[in-house]
Amino acid sequence: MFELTLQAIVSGLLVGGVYALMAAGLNLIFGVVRIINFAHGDLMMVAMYAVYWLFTLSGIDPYVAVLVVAPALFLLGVFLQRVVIRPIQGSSPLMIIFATVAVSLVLQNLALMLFQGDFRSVQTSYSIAVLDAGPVLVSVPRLIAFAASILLFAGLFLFLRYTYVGKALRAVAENRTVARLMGIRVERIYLLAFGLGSALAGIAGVLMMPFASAYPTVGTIYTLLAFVVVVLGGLGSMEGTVVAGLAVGLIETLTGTFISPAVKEIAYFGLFIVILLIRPQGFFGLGKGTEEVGLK
Amino acid sequence: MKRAGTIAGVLILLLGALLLSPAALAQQEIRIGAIYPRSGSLALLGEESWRGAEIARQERNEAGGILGRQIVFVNADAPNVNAARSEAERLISQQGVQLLIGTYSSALSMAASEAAARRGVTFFELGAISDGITQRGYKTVFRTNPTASMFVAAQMAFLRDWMAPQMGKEPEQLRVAIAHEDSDYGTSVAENMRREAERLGLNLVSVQPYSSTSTDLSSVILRLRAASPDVIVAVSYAQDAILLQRQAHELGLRSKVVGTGGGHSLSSFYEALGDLAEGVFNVDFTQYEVNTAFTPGLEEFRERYRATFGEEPRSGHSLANYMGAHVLFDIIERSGGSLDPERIRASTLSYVVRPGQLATGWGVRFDETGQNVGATPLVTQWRGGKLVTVWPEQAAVMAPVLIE
Amino acid sequence: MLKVEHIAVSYGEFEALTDVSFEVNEGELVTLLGVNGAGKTTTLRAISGIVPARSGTITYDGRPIHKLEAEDIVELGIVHVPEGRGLFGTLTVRENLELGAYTARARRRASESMEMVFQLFPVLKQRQSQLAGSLSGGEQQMCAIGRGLMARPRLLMIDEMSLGLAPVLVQKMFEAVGQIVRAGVSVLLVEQHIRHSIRIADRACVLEKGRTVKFGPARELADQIHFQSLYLGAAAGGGSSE
Repeated sequence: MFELTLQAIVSGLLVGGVYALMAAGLNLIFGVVRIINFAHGDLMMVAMYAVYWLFTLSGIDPYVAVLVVAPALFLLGVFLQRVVIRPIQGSSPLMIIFATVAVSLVLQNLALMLFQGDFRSVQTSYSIAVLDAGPVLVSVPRLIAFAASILLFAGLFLFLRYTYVGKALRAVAENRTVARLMGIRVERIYLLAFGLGSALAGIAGVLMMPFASAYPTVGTIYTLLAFVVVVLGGLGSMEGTVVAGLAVGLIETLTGTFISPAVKEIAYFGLFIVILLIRPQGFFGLGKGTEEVGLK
Repeated sequence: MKRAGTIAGVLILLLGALLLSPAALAQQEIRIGAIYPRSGSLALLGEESWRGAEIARQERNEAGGILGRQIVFVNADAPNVNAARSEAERLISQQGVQLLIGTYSSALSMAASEAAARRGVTFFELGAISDGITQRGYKTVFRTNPTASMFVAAQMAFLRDWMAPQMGKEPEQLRVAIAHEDSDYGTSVAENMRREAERLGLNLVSVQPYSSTSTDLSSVILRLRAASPDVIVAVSYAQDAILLQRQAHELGLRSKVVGTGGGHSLSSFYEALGDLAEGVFNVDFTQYEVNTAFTPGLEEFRERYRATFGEEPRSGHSLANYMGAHVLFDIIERSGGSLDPERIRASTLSYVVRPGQLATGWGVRFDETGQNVGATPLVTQWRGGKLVTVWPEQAAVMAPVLIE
Repeated sequence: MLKVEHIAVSYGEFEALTDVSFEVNEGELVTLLGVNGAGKTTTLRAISGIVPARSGTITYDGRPIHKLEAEDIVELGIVHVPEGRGLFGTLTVRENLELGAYTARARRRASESMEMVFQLFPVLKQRQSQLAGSLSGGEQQMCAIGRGLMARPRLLMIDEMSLGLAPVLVQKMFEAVGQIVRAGVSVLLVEQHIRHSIRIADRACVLEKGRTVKFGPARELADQIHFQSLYLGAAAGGGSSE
């Protein structure tokens, strides 16, 4: 029983780390640009295909591919912000939701058209490596994904806290008009935020590729999960995102193990609805700006 | 002005529709509505299924069609249940289609066939396996492929007759666990399994439902591990089949696995898992590594598939639809090219083929419910990257083995 | 240095400014007077480029700036301390000040500027690692002005500087403004304490319903203040402006 509990906790944390990383990008884009990007998971999907093709055609290791994929996703994010979002920024929240949903559909159908519905996976020497750590078993690529997520969070945190640009991102998240008065070029900060958020989704895709498969609709569930995590942790709160991501992973695994796997999704969606009802700002949320995107 | 323009546009469209109306074309061509999920999450096997039917159509047309008339598919994409129902209705009422085929997915089949049956239109299911499809008393719904309970019967017989003796156990000592995705498909199949396992006296130790869209199945594996089964019987779609196998390995669960078609038969299952897939059993539609003396026409189909689509078939779904479509074309021919539901039903019920004559090896014999009871699923095993038929003997190309 | 000529600004249908003109010279303190809704805040926003002027011109050192973006105007040294302080409440005092020096021009001299601000408002030095949102009203205003100074302004525009502050603090803020002007920075001040601001200002501009009704030396206007109090009085009552 003890071993089972411990294993469930470890497995839950490992999967939660990736959820948190997915949510971080969504939350960054939300906090700064004030839009909910419904194509977030699809950006991850694009990155997964990129990893697959780099591996299949050029034999590039998935973890090395991040050097190409993360910048590419950054540029894709910048492009989306510049070409899709900027022209309609300031129009109704519904309009912006439609726009990102449209991006999602376009990306999915493009993937379906180019690569069909096949499940694409990469097999590396470490794909199935398992660490025997006494009472628990730990999958090596999952551990790497978890550790990399935590490191990225630390990096993101330091970046936002200690660099001028990071502070400017936070300033724009809080008050874009005043930020302009500081001489901060808000439009550029939007591009940066969308780029960074997309790159984070891309890195999540890279980290998952050694143990997951790419297919056109793989992103959908992750968009949903990231959204749940962001709402639980609080819109605009990075600390909340880490905690909520790990919490969702734990809830999923623990309820799945000790109640039934059939209810694990119900468990965190239930929590999600409860939080929306009693504490819409989330665990750590600022609660500001949510009305702008049509949540209140 | 704007309004007048709109009205004029509508009129032109109506006129165009009249000119292209089915009545005008019906003399030359036999029009069949083909409803498959070709976008969305079911797209992979939906497309695969359609390809099989499409190859049969092309082949038949090249051979002169049905009584000299060419066959035309009116294709419809049905990514979900609502689309399946509305597309069936649209094909019937707006396109004037009198016979429909489809659909790969049981949920889609239920919706589309019901829409057809309510209008008295014939519906041939060529790939979905839920028993319920042919158990609703509809006189115009038929199915050429085996049902879920036929899968389960083959699977459990394999456990009792081959696996238990192989492990040196009596059937009642064989610890069996079921892991199934929790949609109608997985749930109904799992329920059949439970009953069949009990009937055969197997020791059922655990049943674990889960959502096929799950991103993580560690909790399923942990619960299974706690029950220490000899064999896990799984009902899975594509992504979850891979995830189950991978996470079982990650969490140290070493039981034998027997899949139930679906995800366990896909080439992507092996591509994703490599060595982890070795030795996994599966019960499924006829696959390509099979004794071809039992499946005449299979090699030709495979070649044609490669030539048409530029790749290997991804699963046996295309083959099943290919066989089903040919059976349907034969039946239409026996009705003298008429699509009249009563004539079709009469020719269907009187049409019989012995096993080992068609590309799937399946026999053809329809019962009163419209089900082809001559179709039998086969047991296959992943061996060196190929899904090889291992049981029953007359279809096998290799003997089954337990791989540690 | 700054010349505002006949500018008009509308928010949709609503005409906030119809005809505003005045000027600010090097090292001068000019105050904008008028009742709530007269257009004081809008005038500052038009100068800092947050709202576009529909007509009229704003020139700075002889060159038109009313078509420039807000970000470019800051670069020129025109800095706007907005009404309600506009601090980034979730950032620390120090971070707020640092962001004040965001422009390339100001960033080079950020540490020097920081020392100067801490000299002017020593309390900010003590509070530097606190969240700006947790400061008292007076400290927030100091932080906002300090942040404005971080941008190395040649013209500092302060909106409703003493709104909601206790009299002692109001006194302090005025002293600080005096020091800023003596250091050679021009100040354009919007204030509710009319007597006080008129006393320290060089010139004053009176706005009424979005137009300049008087612009001249503060001393002359001070003599007429009893005459004007009819509508200036309302502003002394406090409350938020437009």
